[in-house]
Amino acid sequence: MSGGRDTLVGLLLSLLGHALLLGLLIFGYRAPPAPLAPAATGPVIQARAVDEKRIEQEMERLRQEEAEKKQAEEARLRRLEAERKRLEKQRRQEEKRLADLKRKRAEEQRRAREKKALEQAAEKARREKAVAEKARLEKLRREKAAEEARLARLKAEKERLAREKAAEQKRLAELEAQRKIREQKAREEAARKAREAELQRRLAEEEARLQAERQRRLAREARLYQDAIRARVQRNWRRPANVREGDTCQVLVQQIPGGEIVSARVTQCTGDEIFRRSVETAVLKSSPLPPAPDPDLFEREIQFTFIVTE
Amino acid sequence: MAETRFFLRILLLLTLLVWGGSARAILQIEITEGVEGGIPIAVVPFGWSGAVPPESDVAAIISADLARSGRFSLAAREAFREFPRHGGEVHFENWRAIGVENLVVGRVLPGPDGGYQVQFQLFDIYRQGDGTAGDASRIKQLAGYNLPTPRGGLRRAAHTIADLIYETLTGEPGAFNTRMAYITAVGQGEARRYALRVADADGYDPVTVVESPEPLMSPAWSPDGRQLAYVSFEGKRAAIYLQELATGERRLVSQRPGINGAPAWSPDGRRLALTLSEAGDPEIYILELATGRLTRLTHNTAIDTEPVWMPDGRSLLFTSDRSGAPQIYRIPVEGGRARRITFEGGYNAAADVSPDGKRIAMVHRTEAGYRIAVMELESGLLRVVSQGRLDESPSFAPNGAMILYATEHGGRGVLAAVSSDGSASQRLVLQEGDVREPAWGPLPRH
Repeated sequence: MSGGRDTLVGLLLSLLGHALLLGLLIFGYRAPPAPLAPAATGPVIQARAVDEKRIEQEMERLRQEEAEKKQAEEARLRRLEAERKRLEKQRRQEEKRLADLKRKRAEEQRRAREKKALEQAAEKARREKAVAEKARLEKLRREKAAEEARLARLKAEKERLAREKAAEQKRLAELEAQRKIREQKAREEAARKAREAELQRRLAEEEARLQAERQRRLAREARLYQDAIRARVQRNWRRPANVREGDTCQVLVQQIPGGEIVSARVTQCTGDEIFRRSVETAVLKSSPLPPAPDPDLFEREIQFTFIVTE
Repeated sequence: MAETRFFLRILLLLTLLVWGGSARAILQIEITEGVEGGIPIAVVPFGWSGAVPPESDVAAIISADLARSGRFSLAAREAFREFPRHGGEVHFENWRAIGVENLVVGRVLPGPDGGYQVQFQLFDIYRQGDGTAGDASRIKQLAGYNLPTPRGGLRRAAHTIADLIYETLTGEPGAFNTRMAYITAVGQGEARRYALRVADADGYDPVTVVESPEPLMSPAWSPDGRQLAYVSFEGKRAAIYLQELATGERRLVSQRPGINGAPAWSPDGRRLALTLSEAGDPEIYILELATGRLTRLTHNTAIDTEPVWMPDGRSLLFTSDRSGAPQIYRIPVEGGRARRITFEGGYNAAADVSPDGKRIAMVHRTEAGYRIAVMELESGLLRVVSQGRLDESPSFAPNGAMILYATEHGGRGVLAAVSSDGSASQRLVLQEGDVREPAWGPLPRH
């Protein structure tokens, strides 16, 4: 409402200014231009020796200046006329402009009303919107708060869970560590047992091998030992000339370690006294018998069987 | 009570286990081979006491006898470490150390009538008093005798001792105390003289039974050892005589035309096998001494000679060249078909049969000459036992262990003895001249 009044005031002020300016142009403005006075009294000829030429030049200059003043007056009159025309034109333009302005103002007022209505609607919408917005924001705020609370709860829960999980993991880790330790120990134990078993097995194998080796060696030495005994007794057995083929005589001999014979006894004999004596002598003459190469091979008793063959 | 029984049962079980173990623990060794060679024996020089030393070295005679038999290996006196004269002085280690198994020690002590008491002991060095090695106190005496011996009888006593040792250690009778008969020829041409002699089996103490300027041949002992049969050419013809050794009494039993040769006594001493050629060529006959009945055994155009009786008296061996060369044949005493028994070699003659009838000794021609070979009758296995170039007239000792034979040495005939397995041989040292045709006498009758 105030906008309209302002616009009206402005319009009046503008009309007053224009009228004043138009009065001046028509009535008031006849005073010589003040700026020319100083110029007429200003230049003071000080020269005492003025030569003709200079007077001429001065006279020329004065005539020129008179010409120029007349021309300038004429130009000023033309310019005034142009100005009056232009002002006329300008007044018509101004009238037209004022009409335009009036029409324009109506238009503007209508627009302003429309605008105001629009603005009011907008304001209303704006207010409604604000309310809605506020509600929305409130809702949002509540929701956010709820969300935050939920999130906080979630976070707390999460942290709790995390703590629990961490604790559980720690427990599990400890359990796992213990399990690993147990497993490690079990593996080490198993490995140790396996090593021990392997060692035992190798020892047993080695033992068995040594035993077998020893048995073979003993068997070999036993053969050699028996061969040595047999060879010695054979070397000492003179077969009597009158023995019969197939006659046999057994002599049971007791020896002591070192081979010395402590007794020799014929236990069974199919031959005669000569045969008996020959085998007894063969055995007794063989004392000491070859020593046993190994104490295990020593036998206190040896039974010699003498057989008469062809 | 129950505990005690239980304990006893455990003890019994343990005992059985121990016994079982020890029974298994006995090492069993079989001996099937021995060594050849003589029985190692040492005969220590006999000690003596009295004013004069004994006439003979008894130990040396024993040693020679044993050595000659081939069945003994005599330790040399130089090796002896001690000279014990009886068992109490013997240290068996000294004898074991030199490999002796048996030891003979003895003494010659003065006896009645200038004779002797010969004591000897035979020890087994490897056996102690009770026959086991456990009793070290005394070595075992295998034989010990005290022989009253007349003056001049030491050689015989020594042979007797050798026989006892031989029999104790070999299980066979000795034949050292036996005699042999043989023929000697001394001198050349018209001066050549023949003699039938009898000596100890080692060649000592020869006694002349008969002497002749004509050849004497083929002495043969009667089984009882009292008589000799022999061939004599004293009547320029061959004749067979029997002669009593003790009395010198003799008896002509065959003087038929041609050859009267090679007498051989039957084992029972009642018959004489001989070779006669009255039928043209030499044939074997059997003469019954009591009746003079003569039985012709061979009928053959070849030479059949040198009969010898098998010990069982049921067959005879003889030499015949009916196959073209001399070989030994066997024929039953009642006559019949003669079987050739020698096939190895181109000359086998003059057989003698071992006392057990299992082997024959004969002259066997080899590439190196005529040698004595012994053949097993059952297997026909022949073994040359002598080493000469011209060995002949083998004669078994009455124990079959040795063979006497004639051989050549230094260009003259000598006698040698070889063990019947050829392991030992020895020439007999006899007086000068050629010595031939030994015949080993029988064992003395006890």
